[in-house]
Amino acid sequence: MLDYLPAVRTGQQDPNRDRSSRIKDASVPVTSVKSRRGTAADGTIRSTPPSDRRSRRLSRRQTLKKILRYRVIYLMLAPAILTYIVFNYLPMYGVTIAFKDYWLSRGILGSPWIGLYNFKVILGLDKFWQVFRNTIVINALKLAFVFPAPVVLAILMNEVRSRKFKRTVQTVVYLPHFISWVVISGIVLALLSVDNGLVNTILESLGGRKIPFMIRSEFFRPILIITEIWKEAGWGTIIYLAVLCTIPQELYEAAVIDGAGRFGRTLHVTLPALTAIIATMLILTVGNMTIGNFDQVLNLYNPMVYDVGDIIDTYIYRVGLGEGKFGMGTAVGLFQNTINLVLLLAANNLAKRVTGSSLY
Amino acid sequence: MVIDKSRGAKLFEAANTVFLCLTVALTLYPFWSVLVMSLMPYSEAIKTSFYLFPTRVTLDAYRYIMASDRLIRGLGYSVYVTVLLVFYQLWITSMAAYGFTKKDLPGRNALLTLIIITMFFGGGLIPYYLLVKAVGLVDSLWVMVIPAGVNTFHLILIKSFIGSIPSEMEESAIIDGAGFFRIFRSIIVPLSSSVLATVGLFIAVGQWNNWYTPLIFINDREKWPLAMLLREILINNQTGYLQPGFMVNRDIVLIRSVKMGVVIVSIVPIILVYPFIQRYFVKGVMIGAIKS
Repeated sequence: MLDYLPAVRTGQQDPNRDRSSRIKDASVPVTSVKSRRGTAADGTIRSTPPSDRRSRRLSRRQTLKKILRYRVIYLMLAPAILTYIVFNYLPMYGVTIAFKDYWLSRGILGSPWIGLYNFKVILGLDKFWQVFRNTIVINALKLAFVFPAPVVLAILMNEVRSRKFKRTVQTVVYLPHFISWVVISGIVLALLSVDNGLVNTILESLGGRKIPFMIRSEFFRPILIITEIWKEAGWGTIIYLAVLCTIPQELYEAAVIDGAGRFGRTLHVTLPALTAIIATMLILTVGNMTIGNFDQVLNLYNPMVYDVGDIIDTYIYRVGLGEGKFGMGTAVGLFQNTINLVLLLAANNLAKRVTGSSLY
Repeated sequence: MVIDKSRGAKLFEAANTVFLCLTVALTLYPFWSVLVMSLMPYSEAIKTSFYLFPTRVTLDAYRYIMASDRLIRGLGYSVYVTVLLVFYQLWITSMAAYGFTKKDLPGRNALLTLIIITMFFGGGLIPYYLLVKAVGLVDSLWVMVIPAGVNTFHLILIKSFIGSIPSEMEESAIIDGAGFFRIFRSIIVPLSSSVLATVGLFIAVGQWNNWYTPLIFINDREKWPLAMLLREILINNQTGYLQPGFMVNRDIVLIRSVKMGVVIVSIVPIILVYPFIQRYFVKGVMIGAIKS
C-alpha cells in the first residue's frame, strides 16, 4: 500500500510535468512531444545495445506510468469493453454447442462432446440445402437488381441542376430507410391483398383476374427485390453522391472540349470516378452473400413460399430457437459465419488485385 | 455545371426530371395511401382501393386504438425503452469514444482490435440467446437496453468527432487541474453536443422500430413495446386480442383501418424527428464509410 501511494501521486503529477514542457515549447503540437520522447527512447536502445535490458525496463516503467496516469480513462472505457466481452465474446464461446449434444439442464460445460455430428446431420438435410440455395440465389438476384439501383439513381440526381429540387428528392428518397420492415411489410400486404388491395383492383379493372401474390412462389423473390429497392435505393445514394461531389468541374469542361456529349461525360468522367467506391460496396455485398435479410424475409414470408423464400437466418430462428434444436441451429450459424468470412477475405483479395483498392 | 443547350441535353433533362418526380411519387404514395385507408369509413373503403383523397373522413380507427389498453401500454413501453437506451448508450459510448482518442494509451490498439473483430465474427443467434438467458435478461425490458449499451458504428462516429476537437481546449483544463472525467463532462460533452444529438436520434429511431429483440427475448405479451405489437397486428393478423370483446359486428369492418391507424401512430414520431436527423446523417454516414 505504501509503495503504491507515491506511485499514484507521480501518476497524477505526470500530466503536469508534460504540460510544463509543452508550455516551454508551445510551437510543437502535443502529439509530437510524445512521439519525440518515444523516439528518444528508441534512440537509446539503438545507440547502446549492451544495456538493452535496462532500457526495456525503462520503457516498461514508462508504460506503467502512463497506465497510472490514464487510470480514469480505463475506468471510462470499462463499461463499453465489458459490454463487448459479455455480449459479443461470451457468445463466441457458446459456439462450442455446435460440437456438443446440448442439454438445457446440463448447460454448455456439462453437455457431452459429439464432434462433428451436428454438422453431419445438417449437411444431410435437404431442407438445409434448400435454405442455403435460397439465400445465395436471393442475394445474387439482389446483387444484380438492387445493387446498381442507387448508383443509377445517384448519377441521375447528380445531373439535376436545380439545388432545391435535388434536395427535395433526397429528403424523400431517404425516408423509407427509417421505416421498419414490419411497417413496410404491413403496407405491402395491404397493397397486394386479394381483398380490395390496390394492385389487384387495378388488375381487375384491366380485365385481369385477382392474384394472391403473397402465397405464390413465383412472386416472392420479385417482391423481395422490389421492396428492397423501394426501401434502400435512396439511402444507398448518399455514399455515391458524396463521391460525385468531389469530381472537379474542370474534368467535365475538358470532356466537353474533347467533344463529349452528356452520355460521354457520364461514361468517361462520372463512372471512372465511382469505380473505387463501387468496388468497395461490391466487396461488402459479395462478402455477405450467405447472410440474408432476416427482417425483410421474416415479415413477408409464410409457409406457402418457404420453398423459395426461406433463408438460413430464418431457418436458424425457426428450427434452432422455435423448435429448440440448439446444437443444430448453432452449427448452421457457424457454417454460415465461416463461409462468410472466407468470402469476405476472397472478395477483398480480388478487389485489391483488380482495382488496387481494398477494405483491409 | 457545364451548360449544354443542345436539344438532346434538354430532352434528357426533361426526362430525368420526370423520372425523379415519379420516384418521389412512388416513394410517398404508400405512406399516403396508409393515411387515407386509416381515415376511411368502412362504407367508403369497400367501394374502391385507389385513393388520392379520402371521400369521407372518420377517426373511428384512432378512437379504437386509443381505447385499447394494450396498445397504449405498448406505446408507453416504447417511449420508456427508447429514452432509456438513448441516454444509456450515449453515456457508455461517448465515454469510450473519448478514451480511444488518447492515442498513446497503452493497450489502445488491442482494445480497438477487440472491437473490430466483433464486426466480422459473432457467436450467432443461439449462443447469444443462451447467454442473454443465462444473465437473466429474458422477459425483462432491460434486454432492450443493456446489451445495446455500445454500438460500434456510433462509437467510431463520436470518436472521430471528439478527435477533431483542438487539444488546446483540453490542455488548458489540465492546467486548471481538472481530471479526465471532469474534462469529459465539462468540455468534451458540451463541445460534441451536435454529434451526440445526431447519434441520439439514430439510437431513438432504431429502438422505436425494434421488434427483433422483443420477438426473440420477450415472451410475455404484456411487456411488448409498440413495434412488436405492430408486427403481431400487421403480419400475424392478430387484431382481435387488442381489445377482447370489442370485436362485434360493426367493428370488424374497421380491421384494415385499425391496422393502418397503428402504422400511422408508429411512424409519426419518426417523421417528426426526421428533419433533425436528416441534417446530420449524411455527414455521419460518410465518416462511418471512410473509417470502415
